[in-house]
Amino acid sequence: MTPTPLLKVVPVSEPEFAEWSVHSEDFNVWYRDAHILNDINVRFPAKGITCIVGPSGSGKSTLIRSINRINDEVPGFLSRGSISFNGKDVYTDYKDLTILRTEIGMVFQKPCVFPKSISENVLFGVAKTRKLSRAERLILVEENLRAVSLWKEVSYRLDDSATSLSLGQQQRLCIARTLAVKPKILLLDEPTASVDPVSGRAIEELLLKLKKDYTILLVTHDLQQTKRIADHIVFLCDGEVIEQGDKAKMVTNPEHQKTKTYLSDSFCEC
Amino acid sequence: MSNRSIANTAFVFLSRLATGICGFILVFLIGVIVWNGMNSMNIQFLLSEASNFGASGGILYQIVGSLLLVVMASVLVMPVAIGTALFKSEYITSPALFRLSSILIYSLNGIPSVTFGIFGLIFFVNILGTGISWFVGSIILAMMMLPTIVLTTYQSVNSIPSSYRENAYALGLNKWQVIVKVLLPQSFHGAVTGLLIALARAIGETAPIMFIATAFSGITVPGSLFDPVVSLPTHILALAQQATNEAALQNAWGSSLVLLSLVLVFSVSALLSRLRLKEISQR
Repeated sequence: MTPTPLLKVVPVSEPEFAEWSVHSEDFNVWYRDAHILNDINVRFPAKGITCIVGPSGSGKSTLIRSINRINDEVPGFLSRGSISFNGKDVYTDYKDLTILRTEIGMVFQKPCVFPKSISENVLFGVAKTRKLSRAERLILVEENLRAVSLWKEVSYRLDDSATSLSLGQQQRLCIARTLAVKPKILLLDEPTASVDPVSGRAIEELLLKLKKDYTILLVTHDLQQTKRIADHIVFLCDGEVIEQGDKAKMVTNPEHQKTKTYLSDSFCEC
Repeated sequence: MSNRSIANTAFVFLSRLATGICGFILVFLIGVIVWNGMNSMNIQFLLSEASNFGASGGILYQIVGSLLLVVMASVLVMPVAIGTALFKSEYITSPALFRLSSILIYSLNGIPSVTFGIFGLIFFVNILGTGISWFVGSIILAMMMLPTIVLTTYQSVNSIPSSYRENAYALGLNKWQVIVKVLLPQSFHGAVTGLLIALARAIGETAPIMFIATAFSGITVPGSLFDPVVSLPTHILALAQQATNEAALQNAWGSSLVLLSLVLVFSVSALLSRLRLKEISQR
């Protein structure tokens, strides 16, 4: 694979993204012998929704899973280069991964609630270090369930098992659980891929509401979704960043032919 | 008839036959023990002390002794077994070490029970000078129970989808918190099932405890950790050796029935707890 240096770096001086919250420099990932990400140079603006799109196997998930270092748990994972978050390198400046992962929250493709009650699930990441008072628990549960618009649906049965919820509700509960930890960034790995269309729309609405306060990085296969909610798009293909920029430019006037083909036909010849 | 349907019929017949033989042996054994044991079964037999070298009286202290041995063994084995299973599942990364740990566990399972008894006699009774002690018997039984519980616990920890671990790590939990808050609650049913299966075997073991933990008669409840006890399997062994004494043999059948009932209680609890606890852990 050969890097395409002319196209992949958006100049830092670009006015609409004055504040960069995450950026990577020459970031590479291998799983054992497979070279998954190749010299990734990408900048994610603070606040708003950045959609990471690309065909299957292009390394989208690997990229966001590298930001909170959840890939460290995968056997054979090896990385080179750097990812910085608010000026700190996540691979060298964070000795304590629990702090990094509290600052960078993540929601996965398949909703995975713990076999506990709904309120225990919301508090799962918060109650790990200290005992919460009853009042604190109630406030946190209500606040975060309201944030994901789940409060009305479950407020009368907070002690029921979380597994009794529908998949769409479970996914919103997963987001509430992540918000409760008070992260600065939200990483979402195809959060709507395994839920029904109505829940998917509800999650999109939710993300639009959250983008005022959070930097949201969303991996998605769904180009319609990208066009609906993205502020900024990063297009990955075969482990390389082909192009990145704000939505209007990427959709209407991409610099690269591959981007144009992919964003209009969901097809890419990498 | 075509060859295929002949083969099919033959296979069905053979597998039914195999099941039949299996069932017959079980029913025959249980039937003989129940049939012979019922004659000596009464409250008096269960609740009184043995006398006349077991030929008369009951088996109260044998029951107490057997339960004491396995309860202490369970207390000793559970932390070690759960720790080993978690270590094997969560901490070993090198494939060589992983294979080695499996080989060690299966080998431990394959050691004949009398070897455990001799080991206990040499190491504890002779070298450490503990004397005949029920506590030492429990330690040896715990060693015998270890592989069964490690394997069932390991299987239930290992069957927890990795997405649970990832989700917990992503919320900022460290490894220990993931183990305590996610893995243990969801694999507890496996550990309990393993324990009860191991208990059902351990309570009937004679060879590992006969040299090191039990005396034959004149013992009631042990006063300290380093006193001997009487137990059901060693009691049956001793009674069966008095082959000319009709009354002793009758009590051997009675004791066997009681022992069998205890095994049955453990096995059925294992089955029920597996269903019940699994349901709780997945609620």
